[in-house]
Amino acid sequence: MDEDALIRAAQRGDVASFNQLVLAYQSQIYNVAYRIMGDEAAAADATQETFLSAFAHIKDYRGGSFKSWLLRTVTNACYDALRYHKRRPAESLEATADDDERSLADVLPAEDENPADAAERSDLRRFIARAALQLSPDQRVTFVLSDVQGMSYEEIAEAMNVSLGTVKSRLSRARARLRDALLAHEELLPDEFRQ
Amino acid sequence: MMNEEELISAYVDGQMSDAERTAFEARLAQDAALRRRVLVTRLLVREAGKLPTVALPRNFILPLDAGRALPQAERPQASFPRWIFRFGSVAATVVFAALVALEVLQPAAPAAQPEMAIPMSAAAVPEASQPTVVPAQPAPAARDALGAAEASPAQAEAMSPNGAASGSPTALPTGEPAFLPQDALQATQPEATDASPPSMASPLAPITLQRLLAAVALIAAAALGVLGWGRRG
Repeated sequence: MDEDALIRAAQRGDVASFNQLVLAYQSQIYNVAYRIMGDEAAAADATQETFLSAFAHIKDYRGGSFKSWLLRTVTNACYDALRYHKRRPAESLEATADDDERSLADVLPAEDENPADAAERSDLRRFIARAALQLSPDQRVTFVLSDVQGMSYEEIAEAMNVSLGTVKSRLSRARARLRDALLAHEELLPDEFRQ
Repeated sequence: MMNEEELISAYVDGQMSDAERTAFEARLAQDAALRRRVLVTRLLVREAGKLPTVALPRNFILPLDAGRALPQAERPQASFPRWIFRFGSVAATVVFAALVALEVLQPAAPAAQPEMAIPMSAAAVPEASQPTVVPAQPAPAARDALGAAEASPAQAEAMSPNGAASGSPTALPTGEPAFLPQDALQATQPEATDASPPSMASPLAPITLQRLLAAVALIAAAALGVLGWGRRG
């Protein structure tokens, strides 16, 4: 059954059809949630919330990209979770601190590794993933959708329900912060990037 | 106008026009620091795209009874929203109230209709399709008869056709037109044109169209009210 038929069946309340859509998108949705939340349990909660909410509101879906619609739902679920944790500092995830002024260079490397070892293990990607968690939620979501998921500006604008200009602005600021963090840890960079 | 970071980002993504790219590359050729920032930004984008896909901890399929398990506010909406039923219930209640009010305010008493018809001659009654304005002469009798809901047949027969003997305070001055409710008129006509004796009056009020509509409105108000306020999901 094609996607449109599954969506129509789900709109009639057919859970089995909706579950086929879940199986098709759950990996991507979970990975987006994981990169935004930085925590497996929180990402699983956000993913489950995404599909429950999507099923509850699927009658509101009026065509267009179903993937973008789901991505908008998961980003909203992540925003909600981040706000929840921000209101409860004692329970908050360290990785979800929303502080634009905090230096990304201060949060790395992790306790179990020194910079030299990290560079030797080519742990650049791990660094990027951890540093991204220190971005503001808006910048983080934009960065994850663009550079981790490879979505176009237009797709991101639709998923986040913002203008193209907002996407470009948020993405440029996110990249600038992450790049500056990388430059502050030059030992993590390949040789040709070191001064 | 893009700032420098937006220019770097657009350049890395290939989102510049030819003219913008040419101008930006001219700057890059002369600015080593800018060139390094562009190179590291490009490295960042490339490596971010290579972040490994995280394995799912479990499946996220919904239980088959998910529709029932969802909180009421989150369930898919039924075909007819509740407000339609609620609006219908209120509207039916208003109709019912209006019909009841009309019934109460009407001077006609259906139970007396057979009796009032006796003294009226066929000539005194207009055609069925005639307007409700009737000559003053028979009108007082009709009004008296209608007003005497519990009047006995004997009392009704005692009334004179011109109403002079009735002594009723509702008698209208002679020569003035009297207004009679349409349904009261219609109820009188078959009896007036038929010389046969009146049938035995029922102890129950006769079912008129107005009362039938009122009953339907009451039932509709109750049923729609149950659907609108009492219906789950």
